[in-house]
Amino acid sequence: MIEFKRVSKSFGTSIAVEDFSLEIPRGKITVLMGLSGCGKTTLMRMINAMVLPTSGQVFIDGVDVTAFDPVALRRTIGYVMQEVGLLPHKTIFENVSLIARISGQSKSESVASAAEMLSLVGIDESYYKRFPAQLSGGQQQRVGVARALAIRPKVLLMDEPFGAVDPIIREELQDELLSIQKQLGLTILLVTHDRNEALKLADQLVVLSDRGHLEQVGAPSSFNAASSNDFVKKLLGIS
Amino acid sequence: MNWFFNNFEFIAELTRTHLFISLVPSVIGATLAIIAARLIPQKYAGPVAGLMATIYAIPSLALFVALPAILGTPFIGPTNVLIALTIYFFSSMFFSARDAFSQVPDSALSFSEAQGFNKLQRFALVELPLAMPGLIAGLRVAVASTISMASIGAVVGVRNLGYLFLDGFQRKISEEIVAGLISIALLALAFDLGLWVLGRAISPWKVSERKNA
Repeated sequence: MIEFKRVSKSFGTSIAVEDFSLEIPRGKITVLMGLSGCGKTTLMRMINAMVLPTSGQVFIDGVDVTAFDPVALRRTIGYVMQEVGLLPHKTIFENVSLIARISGQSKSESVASAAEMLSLVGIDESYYKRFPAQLSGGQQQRVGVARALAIRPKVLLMDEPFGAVDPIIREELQDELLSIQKQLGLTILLVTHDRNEALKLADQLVVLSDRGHLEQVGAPSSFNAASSNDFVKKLLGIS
Repeated sequence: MNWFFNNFEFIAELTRTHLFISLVPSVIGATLAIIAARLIPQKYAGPVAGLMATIYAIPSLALFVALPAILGTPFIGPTNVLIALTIYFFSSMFFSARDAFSQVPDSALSFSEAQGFNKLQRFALVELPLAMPGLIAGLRVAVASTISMASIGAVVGVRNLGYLFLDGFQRKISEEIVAGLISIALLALAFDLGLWVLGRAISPWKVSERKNA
């Protein structure tokens, strides 16, 4: 379980997050949703110590993240981002196996992980020797997901993962993510500003306004005209 | 052409000196430029780049003869030429090396940091290979100009291919001058070609990008 406890973050004089607390349950998908600049990405990046809170603490299974060596911590947490960030000079297969290798797997383990995860996300062997530039955006993000899974993480952080993919492929990828999450029992924290994506994927939906202010938390089914305030209704399109 | 074949041994000897006097500064200059380009913070890059441009504008002969006064090295001999050529190489390569590193996509860098690459792994596995095409391009320019500039070293007593110009000019043997010209051009061309082949060999993804486009 991941827990934010009274977390604040300011960059110079600008406040990104103010007094934010939340529990992220194990084995579920938690979606942080809000407009751009609301601090959702900042919050997510606190989990892998890419951003350190100005005050407050973030715990993973009861341990403050600042207690870990940041590099070692990041090797245990899968990371998927909108720009994908595949290494353009490595083949598809190398992109995945390299990450597994960096995370500490032996050479043969990393090869096995790469093959397993690429097949899990539906990348055919015929793509293994291609370079990222030879793949479509959707295929690249499949590889991006496979790469994050290849380290065999318990926690997966996804920063607008399907934001740059066209709508039909996006739905496909969302469906596959749901099935992969069930299959592997992952704890996923996903950041998005797409209401359909948020409602579709979330077990726990977290709606944020400016400075990471918590507007409403709960299962998507618990959001309705009676329970939600005007901001949440407008953001989720509830009438 | 007769002159060339009759003096083949002599030209080969001059070529060896020429190689030594241009390649030593190339290797040292390139290494220092890559390190500097990677380590000098953005805010100092402007002034450093300005300084490099100024240095590059100093005529090479002037630098060859000024160095003994500045560093106390002997007037005659290869030391001044080696140092001066290293400085020129560095000045030329610094720009292209900075450029090459700025071409590395941010997304690849930020991903690798977030997924637990340490600094050394980021440099060796992400930055350096992705900067390589740009670095090779910079190397090609700098090596070619170093090979050509090295010939001026003949004036301060370094007997390399440039000697053929001096000697040919003094003794009015035009064939000797032409032989010098062709030798230096061939040498520069050979290195340029070699670096081009090397660049393609170590950047297969660039080759496939071109095929794709």
